[in-house]
Amino acid sequence: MTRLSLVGFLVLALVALRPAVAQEPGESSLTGWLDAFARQLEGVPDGPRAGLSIQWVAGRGVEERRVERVVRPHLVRRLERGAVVGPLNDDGDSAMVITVSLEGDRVWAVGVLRSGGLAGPVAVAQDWPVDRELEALLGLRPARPGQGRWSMERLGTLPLGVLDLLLQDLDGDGRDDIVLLGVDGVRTYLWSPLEERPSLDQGPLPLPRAPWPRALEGWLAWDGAAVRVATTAGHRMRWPIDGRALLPDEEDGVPLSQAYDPSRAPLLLGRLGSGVDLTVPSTPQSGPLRDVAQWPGRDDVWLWVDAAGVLGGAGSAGPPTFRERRVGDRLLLADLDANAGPELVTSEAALPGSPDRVRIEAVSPRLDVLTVLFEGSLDGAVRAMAAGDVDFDGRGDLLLVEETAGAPVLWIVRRR
Amino acid sequence: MRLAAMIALSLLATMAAPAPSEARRAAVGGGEASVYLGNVDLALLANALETTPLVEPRDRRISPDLAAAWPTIGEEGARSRFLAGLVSSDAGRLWTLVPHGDAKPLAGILAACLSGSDAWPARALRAAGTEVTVGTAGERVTLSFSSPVGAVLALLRGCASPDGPFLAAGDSGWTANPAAAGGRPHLDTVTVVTTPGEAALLAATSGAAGELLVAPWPDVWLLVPDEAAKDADPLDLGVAGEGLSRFSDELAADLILAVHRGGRGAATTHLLPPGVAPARSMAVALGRAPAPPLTLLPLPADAPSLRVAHQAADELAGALLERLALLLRARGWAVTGAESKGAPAAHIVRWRPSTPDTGLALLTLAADLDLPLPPDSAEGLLSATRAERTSAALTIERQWLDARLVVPLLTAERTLTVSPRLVGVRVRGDGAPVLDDAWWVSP
Repeated sequence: MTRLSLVGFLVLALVALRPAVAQEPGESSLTGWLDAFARQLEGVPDGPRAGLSIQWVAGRGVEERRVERVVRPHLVRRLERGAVVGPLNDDGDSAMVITVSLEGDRVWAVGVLRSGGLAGPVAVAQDWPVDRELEALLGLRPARPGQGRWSMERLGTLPLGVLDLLLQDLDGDGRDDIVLLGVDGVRTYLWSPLEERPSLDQGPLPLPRAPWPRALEGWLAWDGAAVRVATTAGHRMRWPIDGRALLPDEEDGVPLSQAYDPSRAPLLLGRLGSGVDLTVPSTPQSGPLRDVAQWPGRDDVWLWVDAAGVLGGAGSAGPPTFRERRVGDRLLLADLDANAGPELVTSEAALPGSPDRVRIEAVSPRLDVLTVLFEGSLDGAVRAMAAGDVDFDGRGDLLLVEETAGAPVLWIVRRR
Repeated sequence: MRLAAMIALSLLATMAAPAPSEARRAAVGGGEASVYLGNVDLALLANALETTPLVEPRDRRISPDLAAAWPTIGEEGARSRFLAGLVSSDAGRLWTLVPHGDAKPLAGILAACLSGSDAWPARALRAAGTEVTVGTAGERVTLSFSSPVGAVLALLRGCASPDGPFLAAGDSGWTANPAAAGGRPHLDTVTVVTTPGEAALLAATSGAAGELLVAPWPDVWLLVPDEAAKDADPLDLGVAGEGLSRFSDELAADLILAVHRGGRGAATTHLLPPGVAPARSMAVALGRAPAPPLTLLPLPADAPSLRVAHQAADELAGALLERLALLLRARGWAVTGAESKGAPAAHIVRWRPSTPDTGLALLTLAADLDLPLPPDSAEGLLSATRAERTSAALTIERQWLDARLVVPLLTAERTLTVSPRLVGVRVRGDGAPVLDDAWWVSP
């Protein structure tokens, strides 16, 4: 066993002891939020000491039954334990209406207290950032059913500023690990079999300081020995996976990750032209591109996204005959259903102006027909996609990063 | 001057071409955005184009990837292109700011913004009775307050640097500023056009086709009575919320909004709107009967009257006045014009919060409507903790409502209509379009 794989094993063994991806540290968020609210209420001068009746209201974005079954019992227990506020009953001389609502990415409890001992009404307001625990307890994000045998699950949030994603076995344990490129550097995550989600392993390995243009883009690819990194800020770096820092890369190309094919390099190199348009000399498409994927096992089949965002390609029987359509910047060819042959993964807006959806389609080397196998809706836009096998079940997994109003969200799509 | 003429003509912008919006794609540079202003102030647009806020929040109005390109400062995750950090001492009376660049220009911007100007941070501080002195100490900027101020970062969101994404180019509009804070914008130029049909971006509330962008929080319409009208209580508001809820039902704001704003708005029983303050309730209405039909009888000659004033150009205020007149007549009151004398008076005002911070918004409301603040309330409203600022503001709001100093009428959204091909447009809190990150997608 190499030293690296031993380290990987130890890290995996300890993974359950560490917090999951980008979650609030420490105690329960629900407890922390309601404790802060209770402390404010207990601190009200001339507050309710001789009894308090509470009415509950479900405000914007929160279900009434969740308020009743989750928030109410926890706050009642907290107030009774504190023994500062008088008994909670309907006969108290103080009354409070507490409204629970979701405002942006924070959940609020606002109580308006009236009491015989107070000169006037007093408001007590307490917010808390919504994390995975509060999402689950308050039902703030509905579960997303899969289609047929496909499922799409939310794995957690990621640090702001994600640029690209790569799945690569870094520790030699057979399962792919996650390499994440952000504006501040490169992070790696290991899959925790116990939690069924990735856990931060190391990083960020910082990128050298460089002025960013307004178009923030980045690319990650494995070149067989190291992870290649490129950004629109001019970074051209390599990360040898046993290294503790990113190293300058002598090659100027932008690495485009390709589907696994043992007969050729796992990446194509493009040159960055104006903005984020690329030219990739080895492809049949001479014009500028945003992304390109070569069919694994064949040299004559290509799919690409051109500079106008139109899905195109060159098939074994000539130009594609599938319906031309506009998609996002990135595409993937990856075997996700273990049925031999890759599937095409793209993202596109479901309707004009609406959030993205991710689409997995069956495609043959003739590029004649695309058959939709799975469509998953998102609340935001697809920022990055990568395919691999993170859970070691022998089937391909699609990981994608959803850019939302708040922290980016990591999703996994897989066939069961 | 051509731009001034455009104001007079109430124009808006163009650059058209409809097409479906796309999945997320990296920006393409170049192009022009034409703006039709309608009844929106040209100065507001110019301010949005030519300035950059000193501090921006880490929230949904900032593109997450762009926001991630520079580090946060302060505990609430604010971001700044101008400040590397800030620390407070003397219980919040003294703040030391570390700028990325020279201290003196920043000190000048802060002095203009926080004191002696009509900028909302200065108004909020004046309402709180807090004075500020701006100085420099070496390469740092110091802010000395006469009383503790914790919410400095929230205040600095109202201050802006002139290094905006666009430079005024005389009659031809604005051109991209290569030295803009945050980098050159994607668009080359922005122009103002006089015909809605030519515009890529319409800042008017027209029914034009395109993508509708809604400002982060709505405008609020309020009825502000004078002392005599407050004491007479012609709307039977009473105290403690029940009368206000009944009045809100009778006002039927939803119908008014359906007619005049395409339903974009809501009835309200609060002063601070959604987006500025969290949801709150006075009491749960259990089985309250619907408001009975209005009974309209001839008014006796000696019926009391209420003088109500409003901005003639404000269509929604006019509709509210008509409805108020009906409700008052059913209560035995006549409504007269503002020019008549002697009777109790009130005026309908449209109020737009300048900031989404609950405590600071309440301070600006106090300043705008000359509302009384309880003694010692400034500390809570300017607290370093958002929850404490919110608690203090909602307490005072409730006291004002109970005292019938202000009567909330309705809220209405402020919107922009944008060509679906022009992506990345944001709407500032004051309703002005932000084009820093806007770009055209291919047809």
